[in-house]
Formats: sequence, structure tokens, C-alpha cells
Amino acid sequence: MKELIEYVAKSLVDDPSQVRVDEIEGTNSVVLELHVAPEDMGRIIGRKGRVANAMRTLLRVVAAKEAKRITLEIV
Amino acid sequence: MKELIENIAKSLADAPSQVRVDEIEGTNSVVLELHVAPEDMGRIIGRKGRVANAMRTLLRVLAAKQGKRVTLEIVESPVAEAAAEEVVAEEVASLEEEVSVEEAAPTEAEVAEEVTIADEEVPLEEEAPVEEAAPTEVEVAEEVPIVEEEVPSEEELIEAPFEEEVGETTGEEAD
Repeated sequence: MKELIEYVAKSLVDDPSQVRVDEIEGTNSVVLELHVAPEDMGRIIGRKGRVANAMRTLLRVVAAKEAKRITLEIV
Repeated sequence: MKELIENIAKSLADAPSQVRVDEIEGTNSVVLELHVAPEDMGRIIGRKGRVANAMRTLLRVLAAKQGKRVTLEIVESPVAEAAAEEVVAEEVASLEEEVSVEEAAPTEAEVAEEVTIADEEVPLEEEAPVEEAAPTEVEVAEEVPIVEEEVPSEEELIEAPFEEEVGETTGEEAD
């Protein structure tokens, strides 16, 4: 899951070198913290959070396969 | 763009080996044809096309950077395609035969359409993959352009619980 978000984020941003994803794992849930450069925040979140929500939708599919709950935070 | 979709689709699919993306490039627009195994169609499209639209949203960001318009089509893998073509051929044949009695009895195609619609309206469990209602190739082809223009799932997604947090962040960033 971390790899997927990292790949997607790096594809979208202007500055891929500043993309970092931290994965915090609980028993049933995973928190992904996506760090991007400040000037890429707008692009990665999108208007009304559309891009962020698109990533969450994709994550949900992967998470469902592993029977986990997933939270994506953009920092 | 091709790589992005290929990578995402492979992460989501049960049969990554059957994922293939064809890129057809025009001057200002790009058409991406995503082929997946028939049993992955439901998962790749998602309930109400949410996953497909999520991929389109991400694609749009990438396309905007390159100043292009992008269209994502989701198609069943070649193996199933051949089978589907046979079915279509059969339907066409039966349609031709039934032209004279068309009004008396519903044609095979009409029946198939009704079945598809009924399938779609069956309420699925929250979060459950739509595998049971795996849409047919024909249905997807019909569904895709409509969904893209109306973009209903995105609006719905915005109503999701995490909306507030993201909305605020976006607002700040927009300033």
C-alpha cells in the first residue's frame, strides 16, 4: 500500500524527491502519512480534495484485499 | 500516464499478469485502454464506477501537466474479448432473425440489457467489491463516457467522512 501511494504521488508531483510515505501499522488498521513538498500540496490534494480522495478510493481496494482499514493523511 | 495506470491496475487486480494498457495518442488527447481479466473488472471499476473515476481523477492531474486531455477506457482482457465478440455476433444474428417479430417478443439484446440494469441496482454491501455484478464489456463501454461527464462518484466521495479535514487543508493551500 505504501508503495502504491508513493508511486502515485511521485507521478503527480513536481518534486518527486520530496515525496515520502510513512506507514504506521496497527492490528487492523494502517495509517499512511504522505509527505510532499509544500508547493505540491495543492496538486496532491486537488480541488475539493478530489485527488486525495481518489487515492483513498484506490487504497480502499487494496486494503480490502488485506482486510484492513486504511487512513491516508497528507502532511 | 500509461505507466501510472498500469501500475495502479496491477496493484488492484487479482491477476496482474493480465493487465495491459494500450495508449492511443492524438494531438491533444490520449486514449488509454486498460485491459484486465474479466474477474477483475468489478474491482477495477468499483461500485458505481468509483475506482475507475479515481483513476481518471489521478490521470487528469498528470494530463494537465502535459496539457492533454485523457480518456480512460476499461476493457476485458483479449481472451474474454474473443468470447464477448462471439456473444455479440450471436446476438446480431438473432436480431436479424427476429426483425419481423421484434415488437411481439423482446430481443435477446433487450433482455440482456434489462438483466444488466437489474444487476446494477442490487444494493451491494458497503465496501464490498462489485465482483458479483461484474459488468459486461458492452455495459462498461456505455457507462464510461456518461460517468465521466457527470462525475457523480466524485461528488459522493466528497461527502465521505474525511471530507472536512481535506477540505480545510485544500482551502489553506489554495490561499
